[in-house]
Amino acid sequence: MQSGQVVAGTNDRSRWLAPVSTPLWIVAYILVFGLIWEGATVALRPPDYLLPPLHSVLRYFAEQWPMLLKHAGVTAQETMLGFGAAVVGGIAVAFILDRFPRIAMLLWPSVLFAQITPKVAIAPLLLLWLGFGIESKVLIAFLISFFPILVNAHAGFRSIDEETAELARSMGVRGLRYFCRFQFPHALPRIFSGARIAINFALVGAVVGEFVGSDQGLGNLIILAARLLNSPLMFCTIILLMGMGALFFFTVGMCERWMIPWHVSHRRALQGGAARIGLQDA
Amino acid sequence: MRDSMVRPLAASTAGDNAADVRAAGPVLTIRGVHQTFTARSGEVVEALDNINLEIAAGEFVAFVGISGCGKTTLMKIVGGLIAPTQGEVIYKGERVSGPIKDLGIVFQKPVLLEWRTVLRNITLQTSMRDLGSAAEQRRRAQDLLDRVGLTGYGDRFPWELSGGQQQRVSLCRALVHNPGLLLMDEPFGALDALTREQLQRDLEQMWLAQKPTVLFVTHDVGEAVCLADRVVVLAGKPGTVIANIRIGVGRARDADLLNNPKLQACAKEVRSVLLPNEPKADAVLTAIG
Repeated sequence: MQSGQVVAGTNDRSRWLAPVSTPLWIVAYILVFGLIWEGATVALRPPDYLLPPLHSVLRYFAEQWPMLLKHAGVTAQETMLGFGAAVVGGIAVAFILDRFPRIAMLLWPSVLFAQITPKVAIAPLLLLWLGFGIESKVLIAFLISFFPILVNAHAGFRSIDEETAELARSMGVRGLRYFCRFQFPHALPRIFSGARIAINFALVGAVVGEFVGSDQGLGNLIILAARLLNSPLMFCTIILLMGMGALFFFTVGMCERWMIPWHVSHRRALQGGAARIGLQDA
Repeated sequence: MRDSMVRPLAASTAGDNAADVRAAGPVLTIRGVHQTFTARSGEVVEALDNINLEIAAGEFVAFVGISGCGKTTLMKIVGGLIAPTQGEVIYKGERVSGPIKDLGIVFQKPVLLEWRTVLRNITLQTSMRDLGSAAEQRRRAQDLLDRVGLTGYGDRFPWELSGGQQQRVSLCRALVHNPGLLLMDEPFGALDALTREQLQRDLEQMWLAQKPTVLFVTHDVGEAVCLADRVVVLAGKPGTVIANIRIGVGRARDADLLNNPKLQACAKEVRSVLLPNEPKADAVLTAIG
């Protein structure tokens, strides 16, 4: 008997799912979901403005895709700019909070104040201040995704153990060099945990900004579709937003695996472990 | 010069080594060191009380004592990682006021950076100190890896190695820059008995090759007498030096406590100082021997 068979037999779940690669599994999942949607709408015939059949949504997309993608591009740009600023800003503020206790005392209250303010509630105000262009959306995306990154980076910088710090001191390493060679790599796994949350927050922020007032972007299209009772447009936009969210999420995951292949969460892949099932593995 | 220190002497108690050290001139002088900590409750805890020691260049000194007697604290003070509350440490003629320049350190845990490969964990030491070209640094690290039997492990990550292998890497990292002073804080305490013995042998060989001054903290009496030229016994709260026992047994000892009656005699003496109230330390040791 081959040892491979023994191993496969020990875990039922991996046995019956193992032959299906994860991307294939997701495609199959979406296909089944689409078939149910199409079947249910054709059989039950709900009013079109409540739930259109899948084929009319797809037809709308086929006809209107240049317009849809143009708006999607705007939303994507706002999201990425806001998220990028949150990554840079979050890490920078976490660095300051960790390194300069006096400045930290001044900074913490305002950081907390910014966090307890509901960003969605102040979105109209930010639009008044910054206008209807993309700046206001970038700012909302930034504000909403800043905190998860800050908190995780700060926790990461602080969680370096006493011995590692002493090792660095024994080598005469201090200041920025200590940050770059010891603290920052140590904190990277946590920063990525924050980034995974933050990237989808940023997308929500951009869409909320567009809801409040804009003449472009997917949030703007949703408002428009609701006013016109144009349900195929509505669903196209929602599907695009979902696709965009997934794309961002997977991109962050890919960066993570590329930058911290050594971390516990990626070791099995590095060691050529058995196929796993889960979103991160797409 | 060095002969006078290594020359086998009968095991002797505190004070007798002064003349010996004076001949070589101490590289390290610990003078009147007191250490107090303020606990979180606000209570002031005395860790060390009036420690005075002279240690010669290239000497291997083991610090033995019950947990909590301040061994580790003393070691960190000597390395310049903690400033003493009172007193001073003189290293190579200078008062220690920050981490010593040519310091190597081994902790109880390997403390390897998980994002660096084994080789890059070792070259971390030399690259942080800007010692030699990258190729030169790699070659030196590789040499040491070969010497501890880890040839071919350079490109692995620390977590792919066993605990004993990781501690070997940590030893290589502490020696790669040829330190003048090597601090070891219960380095083999977390290892199984066989691995520990192997590592003790490796350490003795590497020490003989490079001859750094070593301060080795342990609570294992057998380990202390197998490795050290001198065993300093600390006891009490706050910790004080209660004995200074020279181990006059030739090298290499190969961590062979079981077959070496001289080492066993030294171990008995250390035990009798460390545990004066124990009925008969001999009984335990002869049973093992």
